[in-house]
Amino acid sequence: MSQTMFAAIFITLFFAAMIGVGFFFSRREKVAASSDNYILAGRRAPLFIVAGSFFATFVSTGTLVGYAGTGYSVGVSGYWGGGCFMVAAMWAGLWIVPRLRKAGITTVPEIFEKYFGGGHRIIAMILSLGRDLGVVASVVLVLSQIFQTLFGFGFLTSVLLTSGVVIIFTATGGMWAVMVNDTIQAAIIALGTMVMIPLGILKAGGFARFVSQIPAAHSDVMAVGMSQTVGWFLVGVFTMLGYQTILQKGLAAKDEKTARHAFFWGGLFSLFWYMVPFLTGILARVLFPSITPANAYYSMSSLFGVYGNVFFMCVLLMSGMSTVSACILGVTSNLSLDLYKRFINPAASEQELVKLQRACLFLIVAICTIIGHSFPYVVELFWIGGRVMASGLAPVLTVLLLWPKARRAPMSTMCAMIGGSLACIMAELYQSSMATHAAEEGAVVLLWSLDPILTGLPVAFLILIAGTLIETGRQTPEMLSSYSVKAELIKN
Amino acid sequence: MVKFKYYRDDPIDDVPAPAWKMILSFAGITAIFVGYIFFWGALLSP
Repeated sequence: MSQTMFAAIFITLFFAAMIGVGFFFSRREKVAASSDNYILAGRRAPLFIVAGSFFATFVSTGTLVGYAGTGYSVGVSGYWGGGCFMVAAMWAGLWIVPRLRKAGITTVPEIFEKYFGGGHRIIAMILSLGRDLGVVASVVLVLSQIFQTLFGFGFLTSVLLTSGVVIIFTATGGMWAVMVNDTIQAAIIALGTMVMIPLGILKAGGFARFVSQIPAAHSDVMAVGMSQTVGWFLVGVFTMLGYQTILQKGLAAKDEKTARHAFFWGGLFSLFWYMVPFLTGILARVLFPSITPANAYYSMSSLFGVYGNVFFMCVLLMSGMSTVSACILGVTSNLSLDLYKRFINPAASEQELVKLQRACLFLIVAICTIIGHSFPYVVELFWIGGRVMASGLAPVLTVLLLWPKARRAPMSTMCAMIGGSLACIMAELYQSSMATHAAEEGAVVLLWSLDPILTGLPVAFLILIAGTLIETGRQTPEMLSSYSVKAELIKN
Repeated sequence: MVKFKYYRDDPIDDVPAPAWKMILSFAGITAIFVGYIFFWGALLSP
């Protein structure tokens, strides 16, 4: 059987199974009945499904290809930039997710509306969208590239097939389909990639021989330097703390205990697994010392014959599809609930909202594909969006949930979100302009590169903490009585 | 002045979050993370 035929059969079965899951849960769980059913699986998801979906969403094409490339370039120290997401995720499962659940929200920006109003909600939504849209735009392109490589299809056909399947199962089965498909894919991704490591070591001539060929810097855990290590750690921690797509998994869990356990155990497994792409990169460095880092994963896949190569390309496909499906569902919840229902049509019924949410999926993928294909530099801009979100939204959300005083500081929270984001953008622009200027001058200069989040976060925290103390210090008991509202009883 | 809604008995504060437990849990999880990367660093050293 040829490689193309094997790939066609494997992928057809895989796509059919995912679409089948979508239709099955559409009927069984009545996802069209309400927005909660559609976006949050009716808040009834069991532990295994939440944890599996958690892992699959964290593992995208960028994880397998990008982190393998990082492992190829810098070795084991690259793990600082990957595993730290899990540190924050496990911690968020203990302290952040239970409080978000208690607030009874569906989207992260909704919590800002609960305390402050529409202005805060819009700012939070923009910051949240910046990251998710970037992920969707870039992963959709990689998915189409995989299809082009496997079957030689054109760009449009590849996008229609890969994104079309994601849209069909997400539109029909909502969060249930996304989480169940994620869990199936998580098992295949985790097992498949973990098998690649011992097989690769065997190809390298055994463990001792493999280790003896690793460049010294590649086993040095501090090889990238303290500034980059701290920068990566903070980016990972704060990106996760504001990562709505992941936080919504906790909201979808059937109860608080399930959410806590899913985040903790799912996070712990992911933390251990996250070394795999870096090991893949180190193995590629030993076996293919003269390739470009971006090809590390592909080169390792090619080691295992025709069927092995197809299998590992399918693993890559699964990692991308699971991430895209979760992200587009998160974005559609923002557009339909934070924008349409809040500002355009507050009287919209639940059924109308679900129809809109389904339509939004098509729109989001179409726009992201057009932007990604026609304006690749915009995708670069979106990637900065992850750092901007981590600088502006994440610290304010975390403090808001854990420090009651901050809930009485509308100006400080707003200024911290905007200030932290702007400081991050300014730092990025300044460093880019310095690099461009140095290149134009032809000067040999040592550029001092500071992760922009190291500028954005202190600004956000400073404004938030100092501002909150000043703002609430002027509030009298009479004033608080005038603003007092009765808290709605929220079932767990 | 920008207005806000003040909840006297905010339901989200029903979930206990003592500062020392939050700090200790973060330190503990970070320790697992740091220990794990150093373990691989040592294992892969020639």
